[in-house]
Amino acid sequence: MRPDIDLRAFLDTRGATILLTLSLLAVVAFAALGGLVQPALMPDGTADLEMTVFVLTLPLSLIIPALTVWITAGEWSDGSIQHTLLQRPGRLAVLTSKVLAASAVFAVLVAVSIALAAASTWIGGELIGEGAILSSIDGVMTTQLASLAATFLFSLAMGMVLQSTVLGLVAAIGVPFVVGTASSLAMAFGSETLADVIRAVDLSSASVALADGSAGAFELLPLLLLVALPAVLGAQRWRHREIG
Amino acid sequence: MNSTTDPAPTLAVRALSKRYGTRPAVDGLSFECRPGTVTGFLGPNGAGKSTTLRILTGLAEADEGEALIGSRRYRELDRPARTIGVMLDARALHGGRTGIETLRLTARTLGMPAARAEDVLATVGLEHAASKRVGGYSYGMRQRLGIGVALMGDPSVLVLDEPANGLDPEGIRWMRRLLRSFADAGGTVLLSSHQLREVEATVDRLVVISAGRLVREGPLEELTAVTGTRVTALDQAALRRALDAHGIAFELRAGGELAVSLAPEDMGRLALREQLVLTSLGAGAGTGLEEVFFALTGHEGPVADEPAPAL
Repeated sequence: MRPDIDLRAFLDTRGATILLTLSLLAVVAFAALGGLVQPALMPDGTADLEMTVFVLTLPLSLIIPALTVWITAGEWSDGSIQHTLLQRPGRLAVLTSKVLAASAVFAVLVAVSIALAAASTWIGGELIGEGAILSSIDGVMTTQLASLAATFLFSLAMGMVLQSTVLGLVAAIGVPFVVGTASSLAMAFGSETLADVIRAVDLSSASVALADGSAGAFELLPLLLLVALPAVLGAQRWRHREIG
Repeated sequence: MNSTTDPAPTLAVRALSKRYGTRPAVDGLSFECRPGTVTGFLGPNGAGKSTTLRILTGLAEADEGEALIGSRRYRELDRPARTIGVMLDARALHGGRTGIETLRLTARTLGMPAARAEDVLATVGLEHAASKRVGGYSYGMRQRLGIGVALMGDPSVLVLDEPANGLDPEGIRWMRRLLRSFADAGGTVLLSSHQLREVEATVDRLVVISAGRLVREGPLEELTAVTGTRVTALDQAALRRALDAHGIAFELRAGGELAVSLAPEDMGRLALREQLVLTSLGAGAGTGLEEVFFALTGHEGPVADEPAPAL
């Protein structure tokens, strides 16, 4: 396994440079928006870290799928997987290596985002507003982080199984949107059957329930259907798909 | 080629078969490429060349048979690119990296010193385009860079698919010298190409396939060898009858000339015995690779010769 190679292969392309620059700008902008503007909008004039991170999840829900799918599936789309597998013919090792590389990028991205959120919350709350609430970090670590981890895992699974940047992105961004919309409709219609069906594929809610300890066995179903199953199928496809 | 004392491995394709649905892409194909030789791998479009090369390099799986580098399959080799340099499709190089970044990344992957990237870039004649994105390269430049990637691990075997495509005459000459010197240093080279004249000028041995099957394998000279005698007679029908009567094989060539499987002096003796007046007699000219290719693969050649039944 050579995740360092996969990281470098991802980072030294022009497309990645553009994507990372735009991502960083978006994260900084949304962190500033969340932390600095919050005191003006809140009745008590404070800035809450959990709210800032919540604002940051908006760009992150696009950035995480883009980076993750690109790292795992990008070489299949541009054809350069041929050279990778000629030089490193152990296909599962290459896949594992790419998963590790994507995980490292996700970890750094989330760490930078939370650090920026904390900094902007402190500046907004202490220097501009009536105080900063940083004690909500526990909520961030359960609710927000679990939701971001769910986005990452689903994107990873889609990249693995679809092995196409376009299809992977459409699925990784589109499916959670469709599930969220369907969930709202199910609540509006009051249909329990529909609500149960949607719960079975609502990875974000399941991950939050798993993180805060309120999950039952049912919450494992979305993890199984949307992450484990496509990942296993993707690994099988990765092993046998012909190149060229 | 690497300077180790180990001889280059032989490439061995044994009873290889691969089907896509009901269509056989490769059908019981066997051949070998030996160290110190450049082997041309020829066949019409859809003959199974690319499928064979992809199986050989671990990019596809065979249904039956095996393709070995030495005694091991590609995927079983430890750091395969240090043993066998492969260039199948130069378009597969990532367009978002520069030429030098492509080679540096390859060097790092293969555990070669970073400085080798500059050396290889100079070898393939792309120093002037080192900092240019591969996406902006011409097809010929990509071919050169692809060959550079194949050479990066200092391998003892080269497998190249259509390496001359997109190269200008100077580039073709460069590639010919490169492959010749590689083989002369003891390396094993397998190259597939549609450019028959280029193949003829470069290779020592030929493997010709059609419809996934081996049609002919052997040294270039043997396949394009001078064979028999070219002869015409005042009475061509009488000449044919005489040859038939003596069980001598012949083929009808352009202009009514017969290619006869006899030495010229024996043909002269036969004509004397049979009271035939010959209007021309001489050793058969060497058959061009193009003619051999079209004859072996059953495809229409530039000169449509109708072969007479060999007896």
